[in-house]
Amino acid sequence: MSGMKDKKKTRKKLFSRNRVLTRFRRNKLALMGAYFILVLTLIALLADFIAYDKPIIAKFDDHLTSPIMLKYGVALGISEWPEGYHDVQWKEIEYDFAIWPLVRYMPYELDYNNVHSVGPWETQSIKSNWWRHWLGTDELGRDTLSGLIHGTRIALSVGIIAMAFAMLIGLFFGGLAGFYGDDKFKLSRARLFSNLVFFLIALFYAFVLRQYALADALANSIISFLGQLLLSILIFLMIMLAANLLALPLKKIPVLSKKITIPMDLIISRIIELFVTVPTLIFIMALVTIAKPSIFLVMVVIGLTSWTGIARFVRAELLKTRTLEYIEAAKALGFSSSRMFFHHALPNSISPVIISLAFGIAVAILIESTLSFLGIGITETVTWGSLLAAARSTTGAWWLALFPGIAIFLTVTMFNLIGDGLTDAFDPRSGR
Amino acid sequence: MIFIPTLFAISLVTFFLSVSTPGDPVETMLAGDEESMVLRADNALRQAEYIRLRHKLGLDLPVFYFSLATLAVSDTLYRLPVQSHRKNLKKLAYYYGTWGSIEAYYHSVIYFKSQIESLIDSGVKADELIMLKRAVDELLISNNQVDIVRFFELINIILYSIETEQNESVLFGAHQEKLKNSFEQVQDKYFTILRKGKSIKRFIPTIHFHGFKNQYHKWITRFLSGNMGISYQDGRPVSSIIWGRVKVTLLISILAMFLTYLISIPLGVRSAAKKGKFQDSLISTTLFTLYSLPNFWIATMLIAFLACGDYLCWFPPYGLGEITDSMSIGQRISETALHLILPLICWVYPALAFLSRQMRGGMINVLNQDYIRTARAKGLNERRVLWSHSFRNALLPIITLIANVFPMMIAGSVVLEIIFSIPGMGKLFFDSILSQNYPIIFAVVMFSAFLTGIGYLVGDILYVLADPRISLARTKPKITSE
Repeated sequence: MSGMKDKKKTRKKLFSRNRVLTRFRRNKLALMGAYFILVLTLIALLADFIAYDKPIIAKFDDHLTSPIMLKYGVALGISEWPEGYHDVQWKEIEYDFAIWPLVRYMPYELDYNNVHSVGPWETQSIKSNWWRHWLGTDELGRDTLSGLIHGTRIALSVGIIAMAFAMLIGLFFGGLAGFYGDDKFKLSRARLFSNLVFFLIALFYAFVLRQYALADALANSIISFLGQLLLSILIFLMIMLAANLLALPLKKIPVLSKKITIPMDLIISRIIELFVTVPTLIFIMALVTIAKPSIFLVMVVIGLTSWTGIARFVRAELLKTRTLEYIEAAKALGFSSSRMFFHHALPNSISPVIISLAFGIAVAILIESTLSFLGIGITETVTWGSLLAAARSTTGAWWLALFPGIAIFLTVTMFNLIGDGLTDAFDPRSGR
Repeated sequence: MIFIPTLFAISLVTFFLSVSTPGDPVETMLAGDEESMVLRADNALRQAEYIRLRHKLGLDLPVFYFSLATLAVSDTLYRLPVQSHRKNLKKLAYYYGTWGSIEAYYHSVIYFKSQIESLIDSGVKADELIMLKRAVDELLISNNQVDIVRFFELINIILYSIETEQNESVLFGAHQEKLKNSFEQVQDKYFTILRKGKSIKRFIPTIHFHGFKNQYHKWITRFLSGNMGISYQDGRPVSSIIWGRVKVTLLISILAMFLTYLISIPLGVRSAAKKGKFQDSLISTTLFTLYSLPNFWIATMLIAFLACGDYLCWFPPYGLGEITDSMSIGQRISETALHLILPLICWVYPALAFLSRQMRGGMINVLNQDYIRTARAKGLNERRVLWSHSFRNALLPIITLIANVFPMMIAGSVVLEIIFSIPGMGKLFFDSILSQNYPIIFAVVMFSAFLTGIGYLVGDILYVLADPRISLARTKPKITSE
């Protein structure tokens, strides 16, 4: 019996998801956006096979090798460069045959024969058209097209990871504010008291005591810092858990067992207000000056500043749903609050979150390229923004301004179109 | 007035960001000061200047009202003048936990250093002394045993190598004995630390209370009374630098906002009136495209193509133009206007899409109301219906959107001012970031938060004025269906 019920349930779910999908598909523009992003993702994933300074497969001296794969192997630590491969001038040697990527340059590679920004249609000093800089070069002779292709990786990964990060924070805070509102978060005095005291202690053991471990890791690399930070957060959470366990016996004392209501919604709304009041770009620029700029820093900082929109949507949606009848019914049935939250309230608020994710990615990509354009964001690799910045210092090189700008514009527009399409698709009232 | 606590929270955040920034502000200021070129020659004078500046910047106070620290670290550490030494001693204290012996060690090193410096100042010219001084400086910022012992060995070698070369001077010989003696002391004190070290102490938390005499209190009280500290770069007061810049930003933002409203309202009304027709979709599509165009790209392109970059030279590319006293008012206006055209375009167009869309939505909403149908039934012409019946009702909510548009303008000003070299707040902010001039950075952050807050406040007030059904006193959170 129950098996059949389950089947019915899943079919129903599929049906509703299908409906959203069909509505989305019917929106030509949104569909175009989705395909565009798909292609862009492929370009980002396969960037090394489209633009690289070594052949994909080559045969020379009776050896058949794949320099790109070899490079991957070395980077992953699986294999090592064969004897004598270190100083191979891949572009100079004679091949029996070679399959080259479409663009034969790396973004940071200096082509000394084509310095001082050579345009796409100007005569370039190259061996054949296979070696052409299709979109020109910059002042130092770096290939624009290759920069664009590899910049796709940065743009997409920053957009997606930053928004994933923002979504986690936004869901958490928005969920807390919306689910508990101002009146449903009740703590016994014992628990409140032990939490406050242990908060200081936890802060001490997790962060003050480990300050040098954290600072050294931050100076080293952002990844090791994240590891250390995770450890600190774990310590913090363990101590807070201890605090709550300690509160259980303390609650037996009558004076301490009195409940206190915490206005969750008010507190979190204030926090959101705090973030909204400082213009995002100004806040990010101030943050970026303090730590060493890197891709991860930019992702984390963008995530940290753009969760407020998602939090607000989730909050509003949950505040609305918690008065609805089926939540009341669930409450009457005695379901636990976590079950009500995850099974009933949250799924309802997921559609505005998905919509704001699409718009948010567009904004994140814009912010990242703005930072790179100003030269204070990602400095370790070529990005769309840094390509555009090069146009400012090079007069006459219109290609340096045009193509990266188009790339940013198209990507942002497509994400916005997807967002629009999703808004319509999720909205049952839209007749289209 | 609800944003006052928010502003306080922002001041806390920005303050702690400014405290955690790398680098020693006093050093930065000394380096930027031209007189210090003279000072650098004399060690004692330089030290005195350092302490004076540190006091002037208020950095010789504890950071906050209270601090959470380990028992190992002394709560009077902030009194030590040199930042790098302070950080180093803190780390030493953290690892060994015996503050008394660490202090004694530090004083012995400082004494040793002062002996070397007085020898240098008194005119003894020996390369070894300079090397010695350098080694001691390194010693003062090293904290792990391997490094310290290595520097000890180095100093020993240098100390004894002086003996062989310069022993003809009797006077110097006596000094050298003294140096050796005090260096013995240094080593002694260090090994005392190692012997007595109690690493367990760092696991005990303590809270120190510092009272009102702390950096944050001083900073915020000064800030509220309009004194925002002094620029690290040239020592000028931040408030005098920032006021002139804020004026420019405000002027352009308000002008741009005015223009945005001027253009977007007719556009919105028009596309609402022709809803679903070609004109509507044309306007909508154009605006949507404009909305997605990154403004820094458009600005770059405009400069490259229209402002003496590569092709046409219709507009001046940078700045706001030179206003001289000999110019007539007309000339002044035309000079500024010519410089403002391109920036204003970039300022206006991103907000245009947003506002027109809202205007269109509002108009469509109103046009569906019953009283519009009544007006049409009365036989009023379409123009009258559109402009005098619906327009007014749709306009009010749009005006309240100042709350959203104004912050957009302020935020957008950063990038645009940089690109067009307009001497406003955003340009100042960027330059300060590049030169790590933190008092200005945080003054700008506070200011932009303040301006944004004002924007929201004005929006709220207008909202109440526009719609008598809403009152500010309402406390229940309003849940909109958006």
